Formats: sequence, C-alpha cells, structure tokens
Amino acid sequence: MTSEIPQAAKPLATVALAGNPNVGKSTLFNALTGMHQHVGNWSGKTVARMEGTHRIADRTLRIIDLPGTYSLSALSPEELIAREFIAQERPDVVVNLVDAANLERNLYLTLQLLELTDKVVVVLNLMDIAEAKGIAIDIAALEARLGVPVVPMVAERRTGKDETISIVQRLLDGEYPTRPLRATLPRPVAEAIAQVAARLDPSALGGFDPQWFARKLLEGDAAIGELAASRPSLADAASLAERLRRTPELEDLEAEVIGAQYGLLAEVMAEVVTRSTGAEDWTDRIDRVVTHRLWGLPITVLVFGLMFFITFSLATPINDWFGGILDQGGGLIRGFLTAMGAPSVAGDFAVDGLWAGFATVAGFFPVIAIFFTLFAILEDSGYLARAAFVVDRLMGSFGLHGRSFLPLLMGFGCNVPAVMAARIVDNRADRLLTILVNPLMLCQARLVLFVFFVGTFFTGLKATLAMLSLYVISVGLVLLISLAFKKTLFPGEPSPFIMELPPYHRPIARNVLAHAWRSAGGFLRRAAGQITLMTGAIWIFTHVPAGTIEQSIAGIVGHALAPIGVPMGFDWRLLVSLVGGFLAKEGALASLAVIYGVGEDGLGGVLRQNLSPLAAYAFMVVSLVYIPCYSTLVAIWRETLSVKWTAFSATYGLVLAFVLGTLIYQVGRLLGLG
Amino acid sequence: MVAKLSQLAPGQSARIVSVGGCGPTRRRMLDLGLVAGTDISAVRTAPLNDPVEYAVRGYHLAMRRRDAEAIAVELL
Repeated sequence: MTSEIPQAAKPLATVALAGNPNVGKSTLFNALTGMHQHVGNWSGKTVARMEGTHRIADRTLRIIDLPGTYSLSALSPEELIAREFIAQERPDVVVNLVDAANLERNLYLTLQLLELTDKVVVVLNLMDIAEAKGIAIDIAALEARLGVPVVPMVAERRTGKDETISIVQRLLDGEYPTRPLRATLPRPVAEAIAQVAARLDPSALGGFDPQWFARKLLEGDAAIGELAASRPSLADAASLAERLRRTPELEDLEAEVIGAQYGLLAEVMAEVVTRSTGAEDWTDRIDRVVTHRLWGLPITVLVFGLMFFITFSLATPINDWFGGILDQGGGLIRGFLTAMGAPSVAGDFAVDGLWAGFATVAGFFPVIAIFFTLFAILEDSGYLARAAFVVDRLMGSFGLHGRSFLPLLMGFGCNVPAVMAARIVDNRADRLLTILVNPLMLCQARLVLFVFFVGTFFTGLKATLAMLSLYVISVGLVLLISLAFKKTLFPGEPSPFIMELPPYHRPIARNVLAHAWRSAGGFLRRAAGQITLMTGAIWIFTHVPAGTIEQSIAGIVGHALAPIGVPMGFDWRLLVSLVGGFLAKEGALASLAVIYGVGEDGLGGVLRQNLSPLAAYAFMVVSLVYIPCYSTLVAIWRETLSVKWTAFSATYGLVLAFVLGTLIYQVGRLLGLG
Repeated sequence: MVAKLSQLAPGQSARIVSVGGCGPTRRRMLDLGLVAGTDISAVRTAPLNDPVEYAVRGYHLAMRRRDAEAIAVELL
C-alpha cells in the first residue's frame, strides 16, 4: 500500500469488451481484472457473463466481457446479448478487440459497433501473428479512417494493456473526440431509412438509435420486428417499413447494406495494410494431417480417447485420496454426534444421508476440473473446430451437429461434464438434442455396475458379448433417438454448419486454468446444496418409518410398483435398487446389498440365486436407460434453464427403459433363454 | 461460367456472384463477408467429402455442401 494523497474519485465507468471469437478477449479480461472477477449467466440465457473490476488511481472501471461474436445481427443469443447490452446499458466505452491477422472480417464487427456507439477503442491484438504472416498495418492511417483510437497489442505478452487503459481514460474524460466511420448506403436505401426513422417514437426504441432501428426494420431483423410489434407507438413506422421492403429497389436491402460495409472495408484495407511474404504456415501443415481423408477420423477418435483416458486416470487417484479424507470426516461427525448423546439414527442420517451428498459432489470435482482443463486446451488451440469439421458428415446422418461429437463422447466418462460441454454447440435446437440424448451414453458409473453384473452372471465369451452389446445398445440408442427427436421435436431444415477454422495457436495456461476453475467451481457452487438435499431425501425414503428398507417408504412403494417389474422379470427389490441408482448409477449395487442384507462381497451369490441371467441382462439395459442420475439432471436443468426439458429428459428414459426391459425379457423367454 | 460454390474442387478459385437462400443462414454468410464480388477458393474437404473448407478474405471457413449450394460463383 502506498500512502498517496487520494485524488477526487471519478465516477465508476463501465467498459465493455467486444470482439470476434478467438481474438484473445479472455486473455485481456483476465489481465485487466485479475482475481477481481465473477462469473454468472446473462439473465435467462446459458451464456456465461463475466464481469470484473480494474482499479486505477482515481477511478474504478467495471469491465464486462461480452460474448465473442462475428456481428451484431442477433442471429444467436450471444449476438443479441452483445447488441442489447451496448444499446440499453450504454457502456461508457467499448473496447473492441480485433485480430490484426484477420483484419477485414474483424473490422466488420467494428463498423457495427460504431453504428451503436461512438465511444469505441479499437485494439489490434495478435500483432505478433500478423507480423509473422507478413501483414503490416499503418496504425495512424487506420485510426484516421475509423475515426476512433487504435492501439496495437499482444495480449499474451501484456503489451498494449496500459496504453489501452490510458486511451479509455482519455475517452472517459472527453479528451478524445471521435468521428466514427459509417458506410455510405445506396441512395434509395438511405431515403427509405430516413422516411421510417421520421415516424419512429424515440422513447419506445429500447435505447436504440432511430436511424439504426429504422434500418433494422427494413432489413427484417427478427428481434427488432418483435419489439416494434409490441409497442403501439411504433406500429405506423413498422407498417411503412413493411411496405417499403416490398419495393423492388429495397428487396435485397440486407445484401446491399452488408455489401456496402464490406466494400468500404476493402477500401480501408487497401489503404492501411501492406502484405509481404510471411513465414511458413503451420496451420496448413497440421490440417493436412488431422483432416486427412484416411487418418482424419481415427486421429479425432484417438485425440478424444486420450483426453478421456487422461481425465479418468488422473481423477481416480485424486478421488481415492479424497474418499479417504471424506470417510474420516464422516467418522468424526458420527463420533461427535455420539459424544453429544444423539441417537445413532441421527449419526446415520448425518453421515449416510447428508455427508454422502457432499462426498458425491466432491467426487465430481476432479473429473470436471481435469476434463475442462483439457477441453479448454483443445478449444483454445483451434483443434476442436477441426474435430467438428471431420466428424460433421457422420453426425449429420443422425440429425446431430459436428460439434455434438465431443459432448457425446465425453458421455462415456461422465454425463455431468458432458452435458455442460454441450455449450459448444451454438444452435439451440442442436444443443438441446445433444443434451437430451447424452444420458444414454454408457458412463463410467454404469460401467462399474455392469462389470459387476456381467462378472456375476456370465463367463468367457458370453461375458465379453454381454459387455460389448451394452455399448452397442448405448451408441445405437443415442443415434436412433437423436434421429427420432430431430424429426419430431426439432423438425425443419437442419441447422447450417458454417464455422471458422481459426489458425492454430499455443493455448495460454492462464486462460485454460481460469476456464477449468470456472466450470468446476460453478458446478460445485450450484449443485452442492441440491445434491446433498437429494441424498438426504433418499436416505429418509429408504430408512423411514422403520429401520429396514423393506418397511421403509421406498419398500412400500417398491411393493406397490411390483406389477410394473413383472414383464421385465424384476421383483420389488430390483425396483427399489433403481431408486438408489437414481442418485448415482453404481449406487444400485449398494442398495441391493442393503436390501438383501448382505455385504457387497456376498451380493453376487445372492443375486445368482434370485435372478436368471436373462432378467439380469434386462436389468442392466434398464439401468442404462431409465433416468439420468440426479447430478446429470441438475446439470441438464442448469444448461437448459427449463423445467420442461429436464422433466422430459427423465420421462422419456423411464418409458424407453420399460419398453426395452420388457422386450428383452419376453423375447428372451420365447427364445428359451430365461 | 456460373456455378454453385459447392461445385468448387479443392484448389479452385472463384468470385461470388450472389448469395441465395434466405433467413438467418443467409445473413450469417453475408456477415462473414460472403458478398457479391468476393474471391473465394476451396481448400480441402473433410474425410467424408463434406463439409468443405474455403479460404475467403484471409481466413478459413468450413461449410456443408448443402449450405454452399446457395452461393453462385463464377470460376476464375
């Protein structure tokens, strides 16, 4: 702490960071805010909202990291968020991060920003990469053309940060008059805009500029059209716009406007950029291998297989170590309660009910943290886009998107991070589909259950076939159900696959770790309470009113539901064990041990006496499908923000499981396998 | 001669004549700089021949053939 005489503090100023995806916004955001940041979601959306503060001597800046977008056309939730934030929240300054190595398309977003606000600082990031590519940019000339300050930066090396902050300060203090560059629109377009703008009621525009609003009405922008339809005072202007849109010279206004903007950018580029031969392009060399006609697919599978293998081989020892500590913690709690003179049932509930929930959540932490670290490395480096490119054709046959590949594959490990990873699928319908079918992927927890059952009931070749067939059923169901849902729930054209393949670059450790920490921390914070409540509830369900499971609520319900089990070859015990499996799929084993009153060592023998191999197989298939485990349901609810879809996810599984279980058991009996 | 963008073989270059289609997909293409008069070339195809990677305005873009069909080009 320095003992400076504090200057008169200036008011808090809001600075928004805007830019294309992959331009290093998060690097700058982390550099500016350090540990003073918090993450939430934009209201009602599953888009992460990052906010932080940056303190200078006499001023505090509130920094908002807007989602990365190519434009402000409001084609996606991210674009809508960015556009509405700038128009409605009116940030004091927008820092527009631009990829110097891909200037033209990045400046297109700059032009769109300049239509909404003149308080823009353009930061040319990745100057080092541009230089390597042989691109030289005349900063002064670019500044003169854009009419707003331009700062060169290499965010990774922290150069240009201080200069950006000082320019932001000068803009805030009004010392930097800006004259934002605007494209000249063809005369008929400009006249139509003026006509419509004249009829707009400025107070009803939700913060947007009348000229801009008028143009969006003429372009047929969906979000603006909806806003206009909801305000009676805009009806007149909206119907005029609708009429004008049908006149021949305004018929293709969208293409005219965008064409004019890119035309202007081509002029700017010719003035400010000189190209020479750059260094060798690594990206192309890597791509020739990873998207190769023969090796492309195997390499993709290998990369994800490896990612998956690393996640679980690292997480398992950490979890075992955690498990020991948690067991000791449980012992301490029990000891404390006994010492306090509490009845033993209180200790049971506290440890087996509540503490177990905490242990469940803790068990997810290493998996999620490690997975998202690797995930961020793949995404940051640019490889993820290639993987989507390689598998898209394959996924497309089943109504899925190329980007759904990773979340689905992750489902073989754990559905919780897999459902969270579905965020990389940008189209809402595609993302929902990816989330809904994900629980059908055979996760590690179910693998534990199946290994036990297969080992108990089958030997040799039969065991191998049984295990393999479960994987085949899992993947087959994912593909078939995807196709069925795509046709029924999300009909219409397949969403487009238009995706940038950014140049490869070395992932930045700091960003990767920040990303992993946010994902894992976010899950812990939001799910810990809910999962603990649930384990407590299940404990009560299986222990109350009497101490035994048969006379508990679960037992009574199990007996009542027994008829449902008959066509599948299950008695009430198996039905009740599925309740335990809802908490964690391998939990069905512990439940069965409790119900039969044996330890897990004796469970195999008891099961063999009570079940035919056919019923055991039906039970495995039902366990695979019947419902996502509770933690996955929490993740689904968090990622869809929809009770309806979460409930649907649970329901379709139950129905499908009953149908499949019955089918297997009855057909098996007809074939004389029972 | 006018062709569809989807007919471009890897290594071939063309100039965009018009962007067809409608709605958000078309808007996305325009936003990404696929406007009339833009030069574009096909770089490579994915292993199963779809999607196709294109080079345009100094960056690379992957598109499914069915989406690229909407763009009319003249071969250079």
